[in-house]
Amino acid sequence: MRLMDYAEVIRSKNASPFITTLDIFFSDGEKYQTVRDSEAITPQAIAELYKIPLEDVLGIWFVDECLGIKISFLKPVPSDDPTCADLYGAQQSSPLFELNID
Amino acid sequence: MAKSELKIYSATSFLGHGVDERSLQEAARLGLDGIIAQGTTTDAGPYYLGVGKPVMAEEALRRDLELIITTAKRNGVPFIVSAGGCGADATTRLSLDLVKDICVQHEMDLTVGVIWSDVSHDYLIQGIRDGVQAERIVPHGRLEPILTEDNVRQATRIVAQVGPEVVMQLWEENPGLDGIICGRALDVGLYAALPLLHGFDKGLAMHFGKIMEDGALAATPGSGNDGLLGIISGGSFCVLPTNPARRCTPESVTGHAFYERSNPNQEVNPGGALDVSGASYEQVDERTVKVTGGRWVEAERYTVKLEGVRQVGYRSICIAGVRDPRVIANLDLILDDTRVLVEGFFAHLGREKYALNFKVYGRNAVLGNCEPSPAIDGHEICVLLDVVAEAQKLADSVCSFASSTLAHHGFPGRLSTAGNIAIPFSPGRAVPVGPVFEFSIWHAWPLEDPGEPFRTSVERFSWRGVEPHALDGLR
Repeated sequence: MRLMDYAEVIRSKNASPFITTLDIFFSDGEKYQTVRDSEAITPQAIAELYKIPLEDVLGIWFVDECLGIKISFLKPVPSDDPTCADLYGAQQSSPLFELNID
Repeated sequence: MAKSELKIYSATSFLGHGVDERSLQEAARLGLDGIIAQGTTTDAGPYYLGVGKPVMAEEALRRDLELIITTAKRNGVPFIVSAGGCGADATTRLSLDLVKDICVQHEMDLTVGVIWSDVSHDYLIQGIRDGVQAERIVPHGRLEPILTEDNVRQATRIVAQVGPEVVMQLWEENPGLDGIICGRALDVGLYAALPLLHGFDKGLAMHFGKIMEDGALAATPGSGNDGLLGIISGGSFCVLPTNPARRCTPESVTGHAFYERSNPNQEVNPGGALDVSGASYEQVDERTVKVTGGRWVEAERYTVKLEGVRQVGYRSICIAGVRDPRVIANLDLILDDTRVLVEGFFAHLGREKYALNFKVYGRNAVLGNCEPSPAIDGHEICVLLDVVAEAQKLADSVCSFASSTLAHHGFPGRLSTAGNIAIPFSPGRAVPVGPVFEFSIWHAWPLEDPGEPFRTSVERFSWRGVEPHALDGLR
């Protein structure tokens, strides 16, 4: 199953023009735990998915209280670069939709 | 006199996104100690700071200011807002013009404390010469690791984020103020200033600010144009929306703490960081969440965030639709040839004078190199020709030449020989977009006195002093 089969929200936004932050939320604890414990969401997986160096993945946080996962990474191209086409970074989450969980 | 409980209303997620009048009046009926709204951001990119213009439409900014200021004044409640988007002094001046209008329209006298956030080049250059080391906030290659004199000189405009200390000082030193208007401000600081003035714990006050700063976005259903009431007392605070159609839940409140933040547990602020890893969120009634456990971790030194932009050129664009399957099938060849022809035509200028960039919608324009499926599988695509050049005229020339070349370039198997692209409007071959900027300063500037880089003033607006005919025109 893919991440989109588990999550209720998979969104992206800028956290400054230099950082993309991805938020994943779940509607029930079981689905959240399955994804959290699957170890499918790792810095290596994110680096591969977004074709960025591993050290540019700034962190992955699993927050049990709100059934949320946050992933932040340095943008390969900052949002104000002329070659970037997503100023707010709001359309960067779709590669995650298809991530294989199990 | 320090109060043991404060009721503070966060009027909207952003000044200009809309203030819900009924929610605001309902909050005012409960007896408030402050109405707060943030209205500055870098989300909309570097352009606004470059040209010194507000991000939101003037009409929207005026309406929100009007609701907040008139409600605050009528109820004898202080207001604290940041306004104008980029926070440049030019936008603060615009906000004050709007306030003047509002005072006349409502026959209201008003005394406003103003914090101007433009930071002068001379101040920064002198500081750097005196040995100030301002480190970049994000380790991005575009940013100098330590702010340099050249960085400062090349910047079109630089602002610093006003921290809560500056708001508090202005408020304390001017007892007659109805409210405060800031340029670029630390969002959280606007909401934390009153709790800090009344002696609440800094971790609690900053956590309060973090939850309150976007109004009803911390409620469910969330909204960017509705408010949130916060009641801070003792070692905790409660949040609830005054609109009965919404409620706060631990999920809505903690989920909101994720929004546009790189780290959900820790947030770096001037002079320290807010650590919410040990915080707890408890549903105390149907619509209210009680929050405790935010902790302030003092930093070794106090810093303010500098934001500066430098101009990289001028932009011209062409939006080119393609429906012809033969053009779509040969797109890479046609775009490569177009680029070669453009570079040949402008060879005498040198490549560094302009940059031509094709964004192919329907293929990988949005995700660029990290698009997992970069094949065209639709029957219609859009090519955005994006040119940034040293001068507007050159950007227009390059874009115009590139779009006509793209339109008329031949390729094997071409059936539709009158033009390869559909241009949707006129002017269309080269639409001048104007100056282009990039963030070149994104650094933490160390300070002894948090107010040092900022100018403050007290502005008095009296509707009686206005000429009668001016009054007529505005009524």
